[in-house]
Amino acid sequence: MMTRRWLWISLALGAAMSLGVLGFRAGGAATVATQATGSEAPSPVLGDPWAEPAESRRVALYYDRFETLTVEDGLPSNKVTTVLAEGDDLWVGTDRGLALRRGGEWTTWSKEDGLGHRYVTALARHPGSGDLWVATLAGLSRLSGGEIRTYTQLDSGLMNDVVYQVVTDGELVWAATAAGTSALDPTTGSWVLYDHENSIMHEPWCYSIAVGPARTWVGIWGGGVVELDRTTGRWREYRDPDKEMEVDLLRDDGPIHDVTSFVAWDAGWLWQATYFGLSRYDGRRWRTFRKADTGLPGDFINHVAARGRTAFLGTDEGFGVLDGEIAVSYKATEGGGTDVTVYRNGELVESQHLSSGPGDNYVLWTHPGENEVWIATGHGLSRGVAATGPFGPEKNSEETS
Amino acid sequence: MRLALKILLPLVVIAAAVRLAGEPLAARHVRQVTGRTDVGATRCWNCHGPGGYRSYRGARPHPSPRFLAADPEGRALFASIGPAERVARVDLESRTVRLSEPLGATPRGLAVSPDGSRVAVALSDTDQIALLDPREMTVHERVAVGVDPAGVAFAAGGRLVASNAGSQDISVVDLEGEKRETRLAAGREPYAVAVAPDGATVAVVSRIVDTDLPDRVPSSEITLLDPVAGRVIGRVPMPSAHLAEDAAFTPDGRYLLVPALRTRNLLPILQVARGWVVSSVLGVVDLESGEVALLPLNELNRAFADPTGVAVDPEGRWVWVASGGSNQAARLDLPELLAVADGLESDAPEDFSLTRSYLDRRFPTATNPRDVVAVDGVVAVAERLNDSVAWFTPEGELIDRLPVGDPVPLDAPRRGDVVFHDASYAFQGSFSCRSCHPDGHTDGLTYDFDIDGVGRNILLNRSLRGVAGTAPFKWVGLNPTLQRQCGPRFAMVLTRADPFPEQQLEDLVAFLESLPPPRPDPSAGRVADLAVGARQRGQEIFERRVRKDGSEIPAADRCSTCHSGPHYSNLLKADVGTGSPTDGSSEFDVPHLTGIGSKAPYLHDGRARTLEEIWTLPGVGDQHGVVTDLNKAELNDLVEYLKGL
Repeated sequence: MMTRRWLWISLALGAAMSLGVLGFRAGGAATVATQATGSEAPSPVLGDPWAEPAESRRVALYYDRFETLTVEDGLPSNKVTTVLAEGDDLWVGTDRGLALRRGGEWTTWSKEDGLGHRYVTALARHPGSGDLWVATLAGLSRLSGGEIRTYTQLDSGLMNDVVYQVVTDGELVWAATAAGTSALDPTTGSWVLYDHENSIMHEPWCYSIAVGPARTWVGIWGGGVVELDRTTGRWREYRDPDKEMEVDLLRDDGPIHDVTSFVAWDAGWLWQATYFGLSRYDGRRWRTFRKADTGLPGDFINHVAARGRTAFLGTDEGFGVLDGEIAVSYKATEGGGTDVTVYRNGELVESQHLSSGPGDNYVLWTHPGENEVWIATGHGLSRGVAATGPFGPEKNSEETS
Repeated sequence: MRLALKILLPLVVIAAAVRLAGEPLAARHVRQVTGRTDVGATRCWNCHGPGGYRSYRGARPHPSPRFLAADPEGRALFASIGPAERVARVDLESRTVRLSEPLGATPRGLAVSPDGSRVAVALSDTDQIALLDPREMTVHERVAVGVDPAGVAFAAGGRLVASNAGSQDISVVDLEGEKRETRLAAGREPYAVAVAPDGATVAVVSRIVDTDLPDRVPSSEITLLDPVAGRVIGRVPMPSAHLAEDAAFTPDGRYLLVPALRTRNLLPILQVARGWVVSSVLGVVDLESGEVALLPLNELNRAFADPTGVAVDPEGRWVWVASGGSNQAARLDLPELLAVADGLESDAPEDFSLTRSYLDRRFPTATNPRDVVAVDGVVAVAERLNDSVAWFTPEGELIDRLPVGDPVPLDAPRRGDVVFHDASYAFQGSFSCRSCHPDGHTDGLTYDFDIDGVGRNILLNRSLRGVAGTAPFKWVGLNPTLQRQCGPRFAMVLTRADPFPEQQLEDLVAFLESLPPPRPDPSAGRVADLAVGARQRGQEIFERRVRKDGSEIPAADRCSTCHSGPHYSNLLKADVGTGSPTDGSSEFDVPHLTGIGSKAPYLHDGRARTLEEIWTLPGVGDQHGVVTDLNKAELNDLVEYLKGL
């Protein structure tokens, strides 16, 4: 009797072990889950993106001298798509590769050198590592120590190979792609992806990204702007309230249009560029700007750069600068030179003709500096020098808050 | 007695029943659950075994001094004694040894600050650099760095540079400021850190080749950086060379010397008999031109296997290199060496007759010399498998040898460790097991192993870490035991020498079974301040039984069916659609997944450079688990989960 009881106990133990009910596998799985939860706690608040900066930045609105670099000067192509000026180094993205001008010498990289694609769409310097990140139409490339490594959708966590823009927030490398937004943590090698299936964005065609304290904004083609609060993981969407494709029915009611071509943030203001005008958000209210009522060079805006509370615009009709009150527009003329108009609160207050100007009215990117602005155009890379002549230095000494 | 019988008898009966009928019953169960028809016999614990079953056994903590550093005045040596988790200070005048306080982690590379006031030690388990007081041998500070730091050095501007072998990057820490860390991308498994004489340039040598397509000539990276600016200033590829564990600048700072292995893995393995597959070299990197020359260290019919440590005479006259596989050190004539290097193309055919022009002498050491330093007229060597540090005259005359650490009785795994690192078991003593399996891991290369025609059955070298309990072995699952795997056929195909004697083979297996699996990537799924939960979502995908549309995934097509059990392998073979016309079989051993993140490349022939490519290469479909209904974000989640195993 006793033997039979032991036999049953032994059989039960054996069966339990073979079926795993004693929890051997469950224990392993629970460990993984615990690690996952414990290692992914959100970080502390990083700041208020809508706070007005304590100090204003001096930004020049007026430029009266322009010079243009072309293939004859060493550029790989006259179609310049993006530019990044760092001291004496000038990084230029074109439709035929990446170029660096250093000490008067040009170095170029293209697909044969490991670049994802010859068409470069954006450049970003990671402040921690100093690596240059290059967005291309076929992958995200990293230039580090003179060598290129390209991440693609097939060999890495990158969402899609068509990368329209790359920015860094000091830690992460954010890439806007044709199928969503990717963020790479270079120190862990891990990616996080956002698209229409796991975020608020109702479609994934991401054109642009801007980062600010605790926030990341994504400009979406046809989807307005979405905002990620990185401290909470919550999303918020900004869409054109009137949902009209061709007109802005009610001014200042929200983003001017859902087709976002670029977003930029600085000094508490978010700018949204569209092909139908410009919008600005200060955390509470939207304000919209159009060519007809503000004096922008055009409503088809390819690019907006924010410096302080001033926006630099690349449109299909020229280059412009807007500080909210004053809009300065630069348009090349057929006979050479540039027509410059100045609007204040929508009223034309001044116009000039300059003997030089940007290489072309089709402007794809601008990069404002302290006393200069680099302008990527359809025909060369132009540099505008802050005015000391026609408009007088006193105007450029005005500080924008 | 009767009670014992009552307990034991049923257990014996059950064991016998399981033995006789268990395997067929288990196979039937597997066939029912997975729908497979090709399983004839298996065991319950293949899938349901507890984590401890047949898992690695660990090894006794022999001192095993591996890394060495010298006091700037040449009065003391410091050796990391890894398994014992301490650093030993060897006083050259009093000829005494003093151990540090327990470090709580495995120490690896060491460095002494230029003023001699601090000793920095890389701690691989806790991802830190410990700063020790060299007199008291106590830790006064710990600095967080990347994953699994291997090397460390003091550089200009009060910077501490650490090579993080696990996270494949470099930490530059400002010790004099706010201890701010800058992280720079490196090659694969950055290992040694060397500082130029002026301290302004640092070279980090990567041990493993960069992952590339299997038909490309492999290349490992030397990363050059400006430590003060915290920027990479150059990346120098060393073609065909890998397993570099040390580097040293010449006194003028122009050249970097890197002992390495030159491996031509694209050749059929039968070329071992001609000395063409694995040979030892000293990489000479000209930092002005960026040119790399690989100078042979082997002589005709006399190999110098597994060169690791290197040291340069401060006067620029001599170079010393330690050969872990030949139990020797060599003294090389530096001016002659540089003269030969100057005229040598990086892709020049290897000519062992060159070695005589710069090899001054060889001298014997104890077992497995791994690191060497030269200071104040003394050449010191860390003799890892003799648990000793020895120091010699510059001519190689032994001055003294001291054991470091507490003695530990010799056991089978330790004897097997010696076999594993001993090159005398291979053709002309030219390579050891370590030559393809550094620290028991993998070199990440594919080889044409079998003698079945050139270009057939190209197979990826697999890691031996965590290999215990994962039988059968080989990609085609032919070998039921490690004894068979490493037995006579292994000698016939690979080592081209007499097979391991029986006792040495048993010891070798004991050593292999003591190797722990690679450490999971601790940063898997972590993306700065974003709470992403990728690993948890990835686990759900790994374990799912239904597609996203609600339809059931056949059991045979679930990740967790084949990758089950404590090693994430059911220890069977499977056809996942990766066979090619040059493969003898389309069925391959289901690989275990522990530490999979560090085992790139992937699949039997290494065609997948990353985990993503396992599923994104053309024509994969749902044969290797159902993945075609996953979107890119979900595939990323699955990858992050795998990296954490």
